[in-house]
Amino acid sequence: MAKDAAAVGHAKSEPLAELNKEVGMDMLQVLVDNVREYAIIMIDPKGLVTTWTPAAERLKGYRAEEIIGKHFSVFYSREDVASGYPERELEVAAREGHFEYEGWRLRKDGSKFWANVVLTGLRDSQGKLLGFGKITRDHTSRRRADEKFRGFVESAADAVVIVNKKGEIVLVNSQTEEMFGYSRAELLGKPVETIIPQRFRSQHPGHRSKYFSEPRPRSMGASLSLSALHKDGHEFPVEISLSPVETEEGTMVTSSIRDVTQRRITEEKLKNQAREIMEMATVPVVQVWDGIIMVPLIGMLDSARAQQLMEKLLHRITETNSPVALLDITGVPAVDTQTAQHLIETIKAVRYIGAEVVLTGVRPTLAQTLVHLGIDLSSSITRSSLRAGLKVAFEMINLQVADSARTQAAAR
Amino acid sequence: MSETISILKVRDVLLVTMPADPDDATVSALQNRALEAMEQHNVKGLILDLTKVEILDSYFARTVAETAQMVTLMGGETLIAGMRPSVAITATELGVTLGATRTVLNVDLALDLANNMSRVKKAAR
Repeated sequence: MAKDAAAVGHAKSEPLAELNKEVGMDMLQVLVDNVREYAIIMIDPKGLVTTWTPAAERLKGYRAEEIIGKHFSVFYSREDVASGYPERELEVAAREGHFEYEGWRLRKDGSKFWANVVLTGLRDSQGKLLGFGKITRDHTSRRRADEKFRGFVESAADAVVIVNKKGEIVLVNSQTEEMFGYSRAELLGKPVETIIPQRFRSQHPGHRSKYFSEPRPRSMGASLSLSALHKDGHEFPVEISLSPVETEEGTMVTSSIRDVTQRRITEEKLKNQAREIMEMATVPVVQVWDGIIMVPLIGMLDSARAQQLMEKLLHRITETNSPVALLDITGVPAVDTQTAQHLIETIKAVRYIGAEVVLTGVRPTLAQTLVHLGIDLSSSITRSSLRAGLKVAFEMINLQVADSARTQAAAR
Repeated sequence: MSETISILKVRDVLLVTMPADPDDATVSALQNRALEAMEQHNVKGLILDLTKVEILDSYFARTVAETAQMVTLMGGETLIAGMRPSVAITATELGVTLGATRTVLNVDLALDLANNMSRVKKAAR
């Protein structure tokens, strides 16, 4: 029987017959027998195994005498057999001449391996189906690696979208489904632009092909605010990092997408708080006496801050009805023409509303700078120390600071 | 003229109140009416109340400064009272100048000052 089967197997198409003639049948058989990575066997039109090789024995565990003449469905799981899977494969291979597929197959001992199978319908010169050549490879380790990769993608905290060179989505994880509101089936095979807001869609293919020409891990649109498009049409802020993956189907790009809506809200809140604190710290206006307020300025006085100073100072003056404002610049590290100009304007504005600035903290170096810069503060009241300034302020509101012991003594 | 200047004699000063948004005609009327009132009444000076005023342009400011100078020539003193912070800031930005005219936070304080003008003058500078 084995011999007959082999005869069926050898009666192949013309070129192969020619080859057989040339190299001799034995040579080809030797080749088929010695290929280690592929199990190359023959099946007759009904599905019975007709030839067997050592590689096939290594892969599937059956010895030639055990398997030849058996139906090839023994390699399939009970469920596959029940659903008529083996027969369908033969049908397709017979009809189309070729059928390639991957799937779990059984060894003799019942263990599973992931098989990559190429099934080829073999016909004679009259077109009569003689049988099938079946080349099986063990892709279990690749399959495991693939599963590990998928598991890894699935377990990622971010939404992962893998895109091929054509820009089609080839793999997404459940985080992606959740984040974008699409089911896996709705996304696979679709252009990645599906999840990109309309206004960015036209540019995106350009960016994509540029990335493919020079793929390296990096974040997308660094320093840009990226937006993603949910199925329901709303946009949300995201951060995306890209990395290339080499696969059998060529280079693909893995994009990890993180929804940063919450972070943006927090950032905004922090920014606002920081600004409020800054405002308080920039222009701290304190009331030192009825009719006297004071601003201890610390740090550089730039235009923005000078504007704040003026507004806050004027409002506090009117709120507290204070005719005198002490402006202490001891803590201002350097005064240039612009800073001086800001001070002069502030003094002027304060005067318009009917109050007066007493500028204190004019240290020797500052006095020198002001004169050298040609800044005229002669119409303003300036003092070197806050103490001296306060004394002037009291005089201006007609108050006298007196030693109580001496006053009492004088009264007696 | 929809908005008018009001001039009141309070004790020994004149209280001149400007409307919120005086037009040029109102501004020019200010000078004549204030000086006439100075002549009519025996007063120490004039309080120009700007509490309601929302914008101070250069023409208005110049008129105020000039009027103050004229009042001085007539033997009185002018106090500008109640300029709003926003008005003061805009005026500073526009580079408007009021000359040497004295300013006071509000009418209340201006009346206090007017009562003892000589004493305050010394303390201020």
